[in-house]
Amino acid sequence: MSAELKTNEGSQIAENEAQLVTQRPSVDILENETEFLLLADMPAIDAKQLVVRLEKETLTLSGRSNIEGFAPVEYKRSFRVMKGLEPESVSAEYKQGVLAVHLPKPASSRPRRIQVQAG
Amino acid sequence: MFTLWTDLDRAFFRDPLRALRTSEMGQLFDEFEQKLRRTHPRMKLEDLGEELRFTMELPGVALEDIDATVHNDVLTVRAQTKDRLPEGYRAHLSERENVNLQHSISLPVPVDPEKTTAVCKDGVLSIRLATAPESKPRQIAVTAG
Repeated sequence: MSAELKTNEGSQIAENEAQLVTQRPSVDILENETEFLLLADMPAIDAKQLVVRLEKETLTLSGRSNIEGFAPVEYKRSFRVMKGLEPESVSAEYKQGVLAVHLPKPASSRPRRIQVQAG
Repeated sequence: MFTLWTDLDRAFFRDPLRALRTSEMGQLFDEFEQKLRRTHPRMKLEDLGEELRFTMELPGVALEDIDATVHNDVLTVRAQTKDRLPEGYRAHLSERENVNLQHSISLPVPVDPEKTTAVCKDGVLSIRLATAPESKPRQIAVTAG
């Protein structure tokens, strides 16, 4: 009986997983002198469920969108980023269904003003 | 009953094509789907008895960029955003094009335009339209003849 129950549970999970649609969010990648800014359209995600992970040179965004009456959508996308970004300095905010990830440039790659001295 | 995008979703973007979507062809699908979502976001109209609820995904669109009207039992939603590039940044990749869309939906029952509320939370527009009193079912007393 318990074995049978388990099998049923298994198929139920498989069915739910099959219904989950994975989508690639639309993004803008922007840059100014001090940072890269990544904006991703990911509507209706609980901010606590949003995952922003920087591992070596790969930045991964993911989150599950749940809107009453709509099929749940898993948003997921990975990007290759420049070397030397510090995971601790990366910050993210979520507003109006848009995830904004700030990636400060490492100090060594920022443009530096060179003082010109009169000779 | 009134699902628009979700049915399409079910028909085209589910299991049968999953294998395909992981391939290079899948990449094309993803890009096509992304573009489609800008002009045809997921939307839904539900009849909750006392009210109708219209839901539409509009990430990054502020309530002031949305215009919704009800006329002759047709709900029209327009959304238009201006250039959204934050000041001082230059773009390397720009997939989040400006939204410029209009959708008209025939409402299944008359509504009271005075009792309409709209909220936009986490990129989801939700409009609640109270059904007009004359559209509610009325009990008819049957008397013996």
